[in-house]
Amino acid sequence: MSSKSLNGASISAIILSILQNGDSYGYDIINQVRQRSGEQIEWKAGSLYPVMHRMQTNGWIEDYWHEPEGERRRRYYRITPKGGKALEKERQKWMMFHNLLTGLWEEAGMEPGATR
Amino acid sequence: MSKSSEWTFDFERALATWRQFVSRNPAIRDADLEELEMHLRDAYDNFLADGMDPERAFEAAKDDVGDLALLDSSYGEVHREKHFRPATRRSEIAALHATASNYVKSAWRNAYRQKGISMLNITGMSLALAASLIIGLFIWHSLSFDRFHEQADSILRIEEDRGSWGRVARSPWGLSNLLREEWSGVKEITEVSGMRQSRTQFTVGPVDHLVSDVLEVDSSFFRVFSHTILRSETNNPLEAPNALVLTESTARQWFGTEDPLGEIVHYDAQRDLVITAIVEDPPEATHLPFDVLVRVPVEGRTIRWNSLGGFVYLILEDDTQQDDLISFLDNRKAEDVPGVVAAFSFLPLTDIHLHSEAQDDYRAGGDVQYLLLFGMIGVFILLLAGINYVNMATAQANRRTREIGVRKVIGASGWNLKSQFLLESSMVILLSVPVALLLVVLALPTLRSSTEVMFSSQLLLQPGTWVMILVLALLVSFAAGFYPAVLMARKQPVQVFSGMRTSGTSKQRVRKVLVGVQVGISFGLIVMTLIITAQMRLVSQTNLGFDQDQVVTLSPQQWSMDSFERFRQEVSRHSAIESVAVGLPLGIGWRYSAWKQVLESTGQEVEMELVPIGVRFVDAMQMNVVEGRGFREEDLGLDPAPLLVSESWASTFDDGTPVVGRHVNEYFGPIVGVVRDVQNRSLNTSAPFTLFQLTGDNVPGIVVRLAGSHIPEGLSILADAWDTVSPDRAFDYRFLDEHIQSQYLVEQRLQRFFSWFAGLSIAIAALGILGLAALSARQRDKEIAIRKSLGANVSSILLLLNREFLAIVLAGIVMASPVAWIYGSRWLESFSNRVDMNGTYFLAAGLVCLVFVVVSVTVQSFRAARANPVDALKWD
Repeated sequence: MSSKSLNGASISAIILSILQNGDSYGYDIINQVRQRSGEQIEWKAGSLYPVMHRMQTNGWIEDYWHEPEGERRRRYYRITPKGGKALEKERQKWMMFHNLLTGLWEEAGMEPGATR
Repeated sequence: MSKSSEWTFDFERALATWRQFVSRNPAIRDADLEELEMHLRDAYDNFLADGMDPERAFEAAKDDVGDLALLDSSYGEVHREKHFRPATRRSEIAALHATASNYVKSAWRNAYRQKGISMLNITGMSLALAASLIIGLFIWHSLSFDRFHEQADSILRIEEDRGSWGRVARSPWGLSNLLREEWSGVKEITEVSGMRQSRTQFTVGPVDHLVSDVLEVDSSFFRVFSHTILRSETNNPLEAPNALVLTESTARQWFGTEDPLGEIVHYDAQRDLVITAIVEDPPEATHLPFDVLVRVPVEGRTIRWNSLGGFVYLILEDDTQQDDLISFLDNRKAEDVPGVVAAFSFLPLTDIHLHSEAQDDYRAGGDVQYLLLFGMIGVFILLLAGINYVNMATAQANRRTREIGVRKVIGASGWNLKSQFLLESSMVILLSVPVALLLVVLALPTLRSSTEVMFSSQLLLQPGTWVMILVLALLVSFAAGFYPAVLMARKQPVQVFSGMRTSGTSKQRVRKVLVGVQVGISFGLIVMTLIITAQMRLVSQTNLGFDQDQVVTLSPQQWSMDSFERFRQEVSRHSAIESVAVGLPLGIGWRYSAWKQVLESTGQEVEMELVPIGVRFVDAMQMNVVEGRGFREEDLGLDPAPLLVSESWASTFDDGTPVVGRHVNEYFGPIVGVVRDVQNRSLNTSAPFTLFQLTGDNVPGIVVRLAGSHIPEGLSILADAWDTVSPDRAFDYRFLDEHIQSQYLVEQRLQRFFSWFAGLSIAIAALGILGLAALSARQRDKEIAIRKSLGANVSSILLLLNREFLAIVLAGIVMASPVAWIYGSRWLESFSNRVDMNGTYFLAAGLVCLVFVVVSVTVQSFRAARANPVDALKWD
């Protein structure tokens, strides 16, 4: 697996999904993606932030500055109702692909979850 | 763990430096900066916690934030789209500025990275721009003729179609006077006459000046035409019947720094004139150039309908219709000359240079056809350079997929990318503009002397020229940049990151077609150059029916035969003079009269012309008598005078009886001989049949053949003898061969023009093919490496790379051949004696193209073919 850089089609779906679980900030988002992908996906801040700003322009997310106890001040992002709708759309799309592919693979006798 | 005891890493200071660096970018706002800083701090803490030393942790954290160059471009693109939202004006400007400077920066980086290709592009583009600029200036110059007159749009010239004489621009003698007296609808009218072919003598004190551009004008000249009067003491300097007006440069030539006003000048050995004004030199773009204006009285002239007087220019009253005047003239002539159908017409002043069909224009005009042709060549050359750009840009597109992909993913729209690539193309063009201007300035003097394109470099300084250059540059950059921009912007990020090579075959096909077009254009231009060169060589080698070399022509004014005999005896004593004879010089279209006549044998209407010659003329001109004999002294007594006729005319009598001894009609004496056909007019006009009649009493002209190597000596003998016979006229002469050659000025200009621009187009196309071959070899380096490791040798690889180009070249040639053939034949048709259209020109031009392409491809692919396959393959 190569994709260390951002993958265009999925990036906003991933960010929205993370924010759906709770407000977060850039560094944390990158960490979550790295951990959840088993260190397979490594986003760079320089690439992430512009995308976040773009999503903000679309009205999917909004930002606020927040300083939790004992931590430093950070720019947090939260998902908006509009962002929720966008995520729902994305989710349906990905599920459709998922069902399509799993169906095909089952027919082909490939075990779900196997890496090869 | 610390690396050194003297120096310790200070995180806060390093961070401050970083902040400062990032904040310099106007695309990154304060909030963005703070966010990035917090990110960096988080990453730094994390790396420290992992056990890294502070300096390395900072580097790693910086790395985590990402490439700063990429950072600024991504922010630039994101913020660019933001300015539709309410935002402060300052940040909008900053964002726009950031976008623009980011585009310029990446365009520049890309140009710099591809130095070789950029050089090729800029070189080709500046050559093409320079060439098309020169052509543009020439076309503009031709279109601007006579427009400097304030009333240019309302000035008309009267012309008349006189049947067998053809269309003439000179009006009947006395016409302006007739209109002044009998027609009220004319606001201003002026009559101008002059003969450019001969020179007129002006005597200032003891010095004779010979001037060729002399216009004889009436007092209204300045009321119709606008010339700047620099010095004059009266309102209308041409009022006085003996007025003389000089141009600035003539005045300087005759009088130096002295004041010429009021000086008396003896004109044409006939009358005294007084200088009444100095005018600015007329602009080069006029059909009526002059050095001197001589006032002549036209007032008392009565109309002589069948004569040729001066050119009549007029401005009609506002309420007058052109047709009214035409019908007035037609009816008036029909009244005076019963049985004649008059056909007067007008030609607007501004149409004279390019659209005149008259035979007797004061100055030979331009040809719209040639103008169109030149314009087309200009467009072709720009096209060649544009294609170079397109081809190299699309060939490079693959190498830039990653860049395009990243830009797209982080939110660059198609529009962003398109403007980015358009900017790149306009940068190449903009860099080419100054180079092109420099080339034009350098080339102008040479061009002016070799093609006699007479526009000045002054034209370069006019604002209009700059607008033209700018429009041209923008047009070309848009045209050349558009396709590659669209193509590259179309790339999908998914394709980019999945490592798919988007080398669509359609794109390669486009590139091949474009190269084919280039080869076709170059090929066509080479063919035309070869045809024109061959034809011009034929013209200069054509047997004119007489020997034009070493012949000097003199124009005596009203000499008697006795004066001529004195002159002849005086000069023929010297060995430097081979022979002297009376007669109009041949080969330059001069004749005593011309008419149309129906041939008895075929019933066909043909043109005839009569040239008066003396007894020794046939010998002096070395004409060939093929039947009968030339004229002899004893023929002088015959009345009417006898004839020599041309071979081709003699051959139209197919009734078996010999031509010699015949009488043509009651105006001519018997035919005493038949001579080989003489080309009396330039070869690009239809040739009439020539009759030579013996002249016994008047001297229409003198031809002198000088002996071999004694030209200066012979000329001084002629000058001395001239002064004894005709002391009041300055000696003036002209070499016949030069005079004959000058008739082909337009064609010679065309030939040089074509050679220049064909060469240029080949050079530009070769640059393109060179670059493309290089890119093609580079793109296929892996294929070549694999072929080599499988045992292919260098020559087979060269063949492989050449093959695809050869196919393109052949296709281009095949496409262009019919066009070149048609155009070439049509051009040749205007010559009475012309080279055959045949395959040789096409073969030669094709070979030139092939050699060019094969050499450039081979040179470029040689490196790829020679390279060690390991180098190309080890990277994957």
